[in-house]
Amino acid sequence: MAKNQSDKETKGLTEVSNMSNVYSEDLSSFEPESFDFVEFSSQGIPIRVLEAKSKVFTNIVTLQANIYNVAIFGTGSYNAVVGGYTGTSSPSQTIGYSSTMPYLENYLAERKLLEKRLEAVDMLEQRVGALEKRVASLEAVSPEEKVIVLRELSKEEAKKEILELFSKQDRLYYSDIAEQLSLDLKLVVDICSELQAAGEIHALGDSS
Amino acid sequence: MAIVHKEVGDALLAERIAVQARTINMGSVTQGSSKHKILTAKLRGSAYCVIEKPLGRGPGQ
Repeated sequence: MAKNQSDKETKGLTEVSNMSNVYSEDLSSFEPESFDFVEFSSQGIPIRVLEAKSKVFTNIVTLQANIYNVAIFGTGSYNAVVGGYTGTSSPSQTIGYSSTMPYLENYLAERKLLEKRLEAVDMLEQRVGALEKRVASLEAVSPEEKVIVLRELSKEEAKKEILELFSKQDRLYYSDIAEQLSLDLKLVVDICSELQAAGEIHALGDSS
Repeated sequence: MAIVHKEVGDALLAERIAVQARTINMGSVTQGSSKHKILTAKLRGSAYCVIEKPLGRGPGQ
């Protein structure tokens, strides 16, 4: 039992060391001139110091419970806990609570900020997903870009190649010839007009 | 020789026209008569167009 008490004190002091302001507030009630009248425990520690440690330790435990409730249940539960805590607290507990209030407020503000950022991240993820779908649909519809390097042939060479192409295919559009032979469209039209005038090819609409 | 029109206001009207140019800017898609959609485009830089399939004819050329 005594060992458990000692462990609690050790734990309390360890945690108190991280909150020096709370610790110093509780010890501030000690006056040097009245120190001679302080009762000592069996371990040689002043009783008032042990009481102060115990109160600080209680404050820390309550504070941890509050933080846990805030983390789990949010602001509403936090307010409920604070309300109950204030109603039942002793003056020393109130001192500990008030000194830790800025920490809690800071924690809540950071938590709200984090929630807002998470909401923004969710919204951005949704928007990126929608944009990706839109880009995919546009890529599916848009024609693939094909680069054709036009060949620079003499008119006679081009005419020869066009006649060869007509020997393989009966019906050709100007654009088909230009694409298959990588020739300039205007050159193809000019050559076809010459071939048509020479009677070597004819437009299907003119056959009648 | 094919007739080449070069004046402002000269127009081509056909079922199929082949075009070439340095840049081709696709414009908006609008609803035409019935359920046909009408696409618009602008050809810039040495634009050349030729009718491949006249209106109201057979397979063309």
